[in-house]
Amino acid sequence: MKNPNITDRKYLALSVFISPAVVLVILFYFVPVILTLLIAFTDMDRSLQWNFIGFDNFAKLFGLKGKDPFIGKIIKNTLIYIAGALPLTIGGGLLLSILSMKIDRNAGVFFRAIFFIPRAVPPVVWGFLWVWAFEGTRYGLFNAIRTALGLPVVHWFIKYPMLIVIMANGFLGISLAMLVFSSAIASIPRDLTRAAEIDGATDWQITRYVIIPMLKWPILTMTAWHLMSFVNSYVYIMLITNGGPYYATEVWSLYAYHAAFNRYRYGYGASLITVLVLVNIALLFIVLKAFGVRKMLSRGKIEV
Amino acid sequence: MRRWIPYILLVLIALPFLVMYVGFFMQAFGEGMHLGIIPEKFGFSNFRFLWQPIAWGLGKTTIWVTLLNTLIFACVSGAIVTVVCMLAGYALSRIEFKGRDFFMILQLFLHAVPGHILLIAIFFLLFYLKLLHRIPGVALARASLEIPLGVWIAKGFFDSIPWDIERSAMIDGCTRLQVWYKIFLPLVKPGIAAVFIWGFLFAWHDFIYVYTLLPGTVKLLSTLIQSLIATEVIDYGYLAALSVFYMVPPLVLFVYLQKALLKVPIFGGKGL
Amino acid sequence: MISVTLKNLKKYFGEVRAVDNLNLQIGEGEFMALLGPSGCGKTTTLLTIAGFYKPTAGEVYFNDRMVNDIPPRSRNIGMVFQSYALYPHMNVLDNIAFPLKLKKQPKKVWRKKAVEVAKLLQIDDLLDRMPAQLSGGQQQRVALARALIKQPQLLLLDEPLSNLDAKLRIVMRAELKRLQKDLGITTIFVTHDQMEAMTMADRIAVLKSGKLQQVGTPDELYDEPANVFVASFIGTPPMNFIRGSLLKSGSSYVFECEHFRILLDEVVVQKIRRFPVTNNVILGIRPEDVEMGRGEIKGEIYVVEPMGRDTLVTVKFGDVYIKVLTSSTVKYSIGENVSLSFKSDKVQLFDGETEESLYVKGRDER
Repeated sequence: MKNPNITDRKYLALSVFISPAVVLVILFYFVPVILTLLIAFTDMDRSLQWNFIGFDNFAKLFGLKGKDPFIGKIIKNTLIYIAGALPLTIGGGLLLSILSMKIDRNAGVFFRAIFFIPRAVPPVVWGFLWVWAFEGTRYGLFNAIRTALGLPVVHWFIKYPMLIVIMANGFLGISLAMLVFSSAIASIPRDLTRAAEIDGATDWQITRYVIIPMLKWPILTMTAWHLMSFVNSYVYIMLITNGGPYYATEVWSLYAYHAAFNRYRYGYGASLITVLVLVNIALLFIVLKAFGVRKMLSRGKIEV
Repeated sequence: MRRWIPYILLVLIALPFLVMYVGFFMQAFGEGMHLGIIPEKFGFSNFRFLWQPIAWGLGKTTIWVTLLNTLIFACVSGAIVTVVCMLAGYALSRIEFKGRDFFMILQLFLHAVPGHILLIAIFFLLFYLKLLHRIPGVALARASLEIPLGVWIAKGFFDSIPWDIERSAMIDGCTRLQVWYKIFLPLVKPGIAAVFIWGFLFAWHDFIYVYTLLPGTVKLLSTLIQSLIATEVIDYGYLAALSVFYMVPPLVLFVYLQKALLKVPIFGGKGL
Repeated sequence: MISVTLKNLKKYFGEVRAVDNLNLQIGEGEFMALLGPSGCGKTTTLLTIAGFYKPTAGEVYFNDRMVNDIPPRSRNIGMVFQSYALYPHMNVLDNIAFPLKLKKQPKKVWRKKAVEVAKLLQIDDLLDRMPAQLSGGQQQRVALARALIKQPQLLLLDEPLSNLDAKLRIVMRAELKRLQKDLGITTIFVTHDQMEAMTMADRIAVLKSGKLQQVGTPDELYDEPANVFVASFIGTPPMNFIRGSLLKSGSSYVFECEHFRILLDEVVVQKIRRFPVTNNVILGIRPEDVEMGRGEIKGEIYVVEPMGRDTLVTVKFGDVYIKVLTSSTVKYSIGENVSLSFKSDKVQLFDGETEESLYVKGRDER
């Protein structure tokens, strides 16, 4: 028995509700992906001419034809950056959440608020703080303190540019990871840790054998989440070092941005982004395999 | 003794940041810095941008024009996110249709892939749509970044309304659109506020879209601060004061909307 | 007023058959209860009648009109939900008047009608209150007023009393019944409480796992249950069931189980429509139809539960337990040996395999 009327009416209502979202998602996600793909096969520059050149951009990128001299360094930078920021985020998030959940409730809230500030302030302000704190002259915060103590100034950005960038992004990651882990710890029944205490476990043993195993799922999600985030991140690096000094902190996505908007080689930039999009899709696929779609759906509601 | 170990560790980790934050406010409100960190006295001379024009490189503007630009950008973006997400969130919460689950998962995927990597293509898209270099056009592009998670947030709010309320409204003679408008929107006011804050805040904080897609002569607060950082000689006190000014409006908005957020309707009895 | 007819109604949710081939007719002005345990499909049936669910198959008729394609808002029905579903952001007056406002009636009209119906339900002094400020009973009256204001041709009640406390429930039971009779609106109400269904409804439809078990007046269900399920579901304390076999001895029949045998009354034998293929039967007898103190069934008192006017005594025969409702005037104690007998014309017999009643029924066409 079909009820065309009722069904038609339902889909009419549905389209009113959902079409704005669908249109925006298509326009600003799907069209750009296709556009990126198309531009990647052109040598588009600031004249904005569509001139298709086949796989030339990709050939250059992979060193097959007209090698890009920076690409090796860019890949190395990207890997170092992720290898530094990801463990810092997860490890730091775990440490801070465990510590802050152990102490007095109000004190814990206070410390978590302190470590949440990076996410609460605008990116340019967070960037400004780091630029100012590590300024290489005595006007920078830490050099001012060194000067006051009679120590010579350190050119932080020349000596440790990658470390600064990793810390600045890592503490952003920590702010989110810490909150997620803390709420997960809060949801562990008190009786469980009490039982362990009665059984004679030390604080460290309770943490190691009761709390951390219970955090398996949040640790996995946060790792996947921040892996994706660091692979694509460039805004904070741009604000703090802008990739410098001399490509020392230039990561893949920032390199793509610079290629397009600083050197106006849109075609080449798009080919770099195309590779990044493929990496993203591969990562998503791996994450999905590891987590299962259903779980993602049911967990989604409490995300962030 | 052992009980103090967590405190000691936390203080040690937090200390550099606390120094940074305190130093930041000293910079903003201090005058005549000793050794670059200790102010002679406190005052508002760093806030001189409030009554003086602001210059960077070759450009010049005033704080009020910049503030107005930023407000327009954030409000347009917030409004788009709110309307789109409140509509879609209702459909995803209440209407069964083919592809609903797919759409929900898709939104999560899109949220996982940061939209700013597609900036090159979005630059061209806006160019062809004749929206490039226009604040509302860029606000539309920025808003669409927050749609995926905004839809989930909105759906969460609609999910909390019992089904019986909706059935009752339909029995009483409402169409779906009337249910949404007359019953659901008044009940999810906190949700509307939350989604709007969401969209507003991200647009207010946004740097990269504004920087890339608006001309260098049209400054928003974020790009203004960045262009001042990018100059040769940086006046840290002035920049800190400007940053403080930049962070105040979201706070005001949040405090104001908090009242709305706390007004959660009470649903009596059981039944879903 | 209208009559409602459900014709071969099916509603599946994936594999789950919430309503399975339901045929039911509700007459004009009738008060019909849909009764069953949770998950039996009664609420699904109600929501399908209201138009929220699309039948998987089958039709819903209002009078002679098939209404499958008509959305809920055009069916001219009133409905009271289990949670009352008052709009939390509107006061009582606005809640009650909402259906009329949607019809764009002028304020004068909807105000007058809202006050009228509020008076009918004795809530006219609450019109300015918000739903959160009302007690459960008041909320229910508001919900009822909202359902009645548009003068519906059909009233649907979904577990209307289940959120009230026990005392108020008994008061509202009587009031609802009286109101329904006064207004004469065809009414369908869903409940899992057999007492509610028995006391209020003109007729009751008993459902189990989406299938209709029996339709009839409260008396019919009580006295002539169609199967073991209906017999056990209706009546408190519930009916006793004893498995055994039916034997012919001479010209009469005997029910025999491990611990006793009883000769069946002539009246009972007359009612038997057919004899089961195997001798396997289930005998049912209500606690009030067992008499203590005489008879050939001998057992031991297992537990005594005084209930005021009556006392419920459980008697044990080997592994069979029988509950007996006796007057409180006689005292019993645990372990005492007693003999008892069944009121022989009240005995029910069911097929041991299908659990269907063996008796001839007035409504065999079911």
